[in-house]
Amino acid sequence: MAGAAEALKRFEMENGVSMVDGDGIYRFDAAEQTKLREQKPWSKDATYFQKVKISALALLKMAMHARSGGQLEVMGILQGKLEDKTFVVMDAFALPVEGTETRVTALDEGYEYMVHYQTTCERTGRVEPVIGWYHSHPGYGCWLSGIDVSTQTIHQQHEDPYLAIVVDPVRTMAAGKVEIGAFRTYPPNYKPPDAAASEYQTIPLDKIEDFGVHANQYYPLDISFFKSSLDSHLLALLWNKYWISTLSSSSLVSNRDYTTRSIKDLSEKMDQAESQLSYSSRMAGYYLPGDKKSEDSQVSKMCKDGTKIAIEQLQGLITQVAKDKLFNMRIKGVEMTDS
Amino acid sequence: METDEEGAREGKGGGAELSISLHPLVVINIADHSMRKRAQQGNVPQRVLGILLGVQEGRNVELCNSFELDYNTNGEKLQIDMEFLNIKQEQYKKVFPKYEMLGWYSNSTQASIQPDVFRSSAPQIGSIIENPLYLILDTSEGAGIRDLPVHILESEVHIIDDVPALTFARSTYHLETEEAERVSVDQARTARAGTRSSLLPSPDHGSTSLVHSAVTMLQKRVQCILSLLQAMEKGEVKKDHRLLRQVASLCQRLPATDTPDFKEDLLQLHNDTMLVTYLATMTKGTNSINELIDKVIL
Ligand SMILES: [Zn+2]
Repeated sequence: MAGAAEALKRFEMENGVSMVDGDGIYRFDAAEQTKLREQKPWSKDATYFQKVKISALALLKMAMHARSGGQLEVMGILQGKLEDKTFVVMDAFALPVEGTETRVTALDEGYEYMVHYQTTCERTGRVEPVIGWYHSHPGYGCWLSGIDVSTQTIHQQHEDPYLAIVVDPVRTMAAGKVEIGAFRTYPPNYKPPDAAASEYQTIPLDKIEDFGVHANQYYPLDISFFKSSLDSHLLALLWNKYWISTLSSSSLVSNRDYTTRSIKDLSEKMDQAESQLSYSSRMAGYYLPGDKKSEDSQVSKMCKDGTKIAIEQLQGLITQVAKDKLFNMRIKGVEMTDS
Repeated sequence: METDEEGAREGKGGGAELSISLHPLVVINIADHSMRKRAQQGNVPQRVLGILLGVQEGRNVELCNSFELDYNTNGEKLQIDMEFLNIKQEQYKKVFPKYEMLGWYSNSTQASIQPDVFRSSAPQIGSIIENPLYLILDTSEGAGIRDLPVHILESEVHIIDDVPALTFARSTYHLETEEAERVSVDQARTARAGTRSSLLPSPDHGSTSLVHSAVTMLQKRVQCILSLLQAMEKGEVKKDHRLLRQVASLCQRLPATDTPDFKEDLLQLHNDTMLVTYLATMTKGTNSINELIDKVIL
């Protein structure tokens, strides 16, 4: 047994996991939390919260729930605690609400369920309160729509601190990494210091207006992930088993639908740009340079969209070629026979 | 393993075996349950119990999710709060209507040997779930250095002295991951200290790096076989013919899919990708021309 314990120690050292510090995050100090909630530093500073820490469990639960929804938007609740300028998301649970993008009241529909669930949680050692909500945007990226912004604003007014997380299960598959965003809205009447600083991402044509109108009403938070020493030990062992599935699947096949939709969306954007372009070129003499500038960025945006699709496609092909080379290579002149 | 398995018998292949697949979420869920209970009790390992959720089709069982239970220890006996179980089950039914209860889980903690959890909880679970599965996650320190410390027991009803009794036999399982799950598990696995905004494109992540680590894993294993073979050739290790035959049959299976159909499909993929790349390049060109024209006009 001594040898095994030593091996675990070494494992933890190698992985930069320390038992004491790493797992301290799993303790819940009610007094400290109450103190922070009474001080309310976030009521004075509109951008007080800057970071989000998400547990491995919460990440996995959100990703699986979003995936199970398929093309439907799903919604759930975040449980956790607060640290200096940081939300710590310990756990998440699903709400029995679907298709959330069309109704402002979606979160209220799940309210009764949420309260009921929350009261049963404490008996199983899940003592952290609700600190926000998550929902999915299948295939159209992580940002807040107009409805999301009003939902989040209401909650920040009445239940602050409150956090909004958006996950995209379709793009997660296409990109091979979890597409997730965490957001807080600005208070009404607040003027953000520098607008348009947000990162570029592909937004489908039918959502672009919704995105553009509300893009300056919220800001993204930095996301990091954490896990317990037990989690990281188990995750490493899980990897020992599931790495084979990585080789036996093809992202090109499973994402074919998404790729086709992306290309179609891009071609629609081009059509639109073209008609605008011919219109503006006729009027070119009357237009000021400033107007020309926004036209310019529209084509460069399409360029970025196209590059992204191509990169994803190429990555998928590289995988396939690598596998072909690994498992289908015939060594010339050497026939494998039983000797 | 400890007292948990006293009630279990080694199965002697009676009837068709269940094919059990296990999702990582269940493992992480149980680990977190025992972790937080422990953190709240001053770092003393705690016994946790819960219900396994999933789908069953014939002899195929898929364990997809789990929820936690509450229990009382009444002297030596462990009493599951059945009312609480029903409340929880109703809650999960609303969100995941496809999942049914398939069994229950517990962790085993060497540091705190408790009254035989298995024996006292089995009748209670048996009264609500037909042929339940029992999953044990060994959360004791140092458990599962090489393999996942998960054990699954399968139940059978036997008539002993005219009284139906549940007996349990060890079952095998395999890990089931779908793509979205793998990506999330991998993100959690490779997550390090420090922050990274997910909206920023990070070249160190994505499907190519996933494949890279998988190929590295494969290479390690092939290297392991190779060094064994070399050692056998040199006479450092005694020749094991059974093992050698296994290696030979493994080599026989390569090339794996060298068929005309496969080649055609791969070619098709090549062409599709080239077409997409071509379109992307055209878009880029259009952008460049557009910028140039703008400069000339102004
Ligand atoms: Zn939304």
